[in-house]
Amino acid sequence: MIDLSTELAGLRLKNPVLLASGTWGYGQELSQYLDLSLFGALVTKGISLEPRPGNPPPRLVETPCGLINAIGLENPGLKAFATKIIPYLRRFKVPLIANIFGESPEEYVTLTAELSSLVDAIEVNVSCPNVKRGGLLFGSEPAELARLVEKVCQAASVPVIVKLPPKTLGIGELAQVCEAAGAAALSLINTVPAMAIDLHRRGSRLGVISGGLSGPVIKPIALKLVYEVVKAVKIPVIGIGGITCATDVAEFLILGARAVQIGTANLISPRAGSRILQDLPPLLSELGVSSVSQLIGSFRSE
Amino acid sequence: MEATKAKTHPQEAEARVIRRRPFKGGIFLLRLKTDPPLGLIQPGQFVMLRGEGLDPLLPRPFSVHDQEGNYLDLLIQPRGRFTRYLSQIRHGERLILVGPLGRGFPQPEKKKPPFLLVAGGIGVAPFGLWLKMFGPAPLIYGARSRQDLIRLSFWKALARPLILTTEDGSLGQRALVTSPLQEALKKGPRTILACGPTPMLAAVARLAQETNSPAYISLEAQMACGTGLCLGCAVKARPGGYLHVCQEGPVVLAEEVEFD
Ligand SMILES: Cc1cc2nc3c(=O)[nH]c(=O)nc-3n(C[C@H](O)[C@H](O)[C@H](O)COP(=O)(O)OP(=O)(O)OC[C@H]3O[C@@H](n4cnc5c(N)ncnc54)[C@H](O)[C@@H]3O)c2cc1C
Ligand SMILES: Cc1cc2nc3c(=O)[nH]c(=O)nc-3n(C[C@H](O)[C@H](O)[C@H](O)COP(=O)(O)O)c2cc1C
Ligand code: FES
Repeated sequence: MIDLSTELAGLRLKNPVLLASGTWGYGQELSQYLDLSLFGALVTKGISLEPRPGNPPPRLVETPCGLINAIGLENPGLKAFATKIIPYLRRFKVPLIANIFGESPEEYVTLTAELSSLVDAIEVNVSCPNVKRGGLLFGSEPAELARLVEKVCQAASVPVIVKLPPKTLGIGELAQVCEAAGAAALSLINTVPAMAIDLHRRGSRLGVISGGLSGPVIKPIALKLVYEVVKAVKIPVIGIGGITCATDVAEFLILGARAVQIGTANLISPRAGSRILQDLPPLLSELGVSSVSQLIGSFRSE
Repeated sequence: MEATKAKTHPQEAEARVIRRRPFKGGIFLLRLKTDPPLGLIQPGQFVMLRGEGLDPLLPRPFSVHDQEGNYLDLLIQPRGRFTRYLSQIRHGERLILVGPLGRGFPQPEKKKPPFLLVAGGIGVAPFGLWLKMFGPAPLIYGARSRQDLIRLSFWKALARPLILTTEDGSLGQRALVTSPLQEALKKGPRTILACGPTPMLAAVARLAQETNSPAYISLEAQMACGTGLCLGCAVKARPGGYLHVCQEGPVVLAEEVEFD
């Protein structure tokens, strides 16, 4: 028997495979294809205080081995999430992690306070423009990020996971300020800012100018950033980015990620998550380990 | 009457290529056998199809053109990477399919205005299944040129009457599909079913409104998942907000859409 269980920010997970925010709807559609209770935890689609209609189309462009999305964080808002979606997802009896975002620190704090009693952890998406600071991302500047995370952690009665942006310089410092501010875990990476050009119109192929790149094309970037962050902090790290098979999962675990999230793979095949879970135990045996914890952090740097 | 929701549970299935039949102009018919077999498909529903590798990364949506037992026919126009790959695919090759998905066209009901089917180009695809299931109806089928009008004997056998248009006049009337539609609507309201490029659908929606005819149109949008997970397939809705083509569509009432 292979032991797939892992521990993360005080949560016991039966396996290290989580579904990433924004890539599996709110469960109703996906559960036609697989059993959501199979997963280690579920990270729900980004929720804001008020409902948001999202961006004008086109919202998607495929690039070689990648997807650029500009959904614009369409979501039904906190109230509908709390009253309709959470009760539905609770039936699957797996830890629920609510992904939140706001345009001001106050919005993040309100969301955290309201959701703390309803979910098992909060994942804070900091790749959002701080409206007061003129559109600067919360996640881009260490002092600002520290203040935000501190406020959110004070308001939270459940563990707070900070989802870091793919900042290729200084990611270690961002990770450290989150740890110091009270974050219980870090997840990375979010999508990579990206564009695609329509040659004939000489404009963007998205309804808004730019979007976020995800899928296999970002996996090498994600691996490098997870490597940096694991070295920089003691709190657990969740690896995200381009995972489509069990081998990809193992790569992130070897680097030291305590769990992973599956994103774009769900869009490629609604059964991707269950296939990955099925393939993981035989892969671990092949790698000569009997538990996930034996694999985690087994990376040899020399 | 509303766009019909799937009665069959969608599933992921393996699809073997049974036959590829090319037509003039590049369009081809792909016959697939799925394992497990898909249940009964509503005309207007679609499937998501992909190869086994990760390039192209995402599955692509195709309307179901016909269903016979365990076989599924798709009518495909090469446009880019995946459809070009399909245009070369051989007997026995394996694809992966998810479906049937989305809401299809409504079926005939008593005491409703008679149906009128309007197809632009490859938009004719879903009407194969519709006509086979629900019997003859008038079909207005238009394209740029005669080589883009395909399977004419198939359509002649199923549609009553079949009205053809081409933009260059090389076959049928030299016109857009909207001009025979306008003629037909003079006889009184009709329930219009339309599938084709967005500008055509916008014109159909206008004519339908002017004549008080209900119009069901099959929308196109860029899709990633086709299964309601990504919210990528948004189309502007009336009076505001967005419709998600893979969930609320692809077939919707024309008046629900904001064409700009
Ligand atoms: C509900 C639905 C049903 C469809 N049914 C059929 C069908 O029965 N037969 C058929 O041939 N095609 C159909 N299509 C269109 C088909 O999905 C696209 O042609 C296909 O995705 C193109 O893939 P590709 O890799 O060949 O092209 P890509 O390399 O992805 O793109 C090539 C070009 O085609 C454009 N394009 C890609 N996807 C679409 C789209 N969905 N709508 C408009 N333009 C697009 C791109 O912008 C690009 O310019 C349908 C689309 C939808 C949404
Ligand atoms: C369509 C789509 C929607 C997403 N929505 C969110 C979101 O609401 N909140 C968030 O933190 N991340 C969101 N993400 C990012 C994913 O959770 C994930 O971090 C990213 O896609 C990288 O992983 P992947 O390569 O496995 O997809 C979204 C990604 C996609 C493709
Ligand atoms: S294509 Fe993903 S939700 Fe419609």
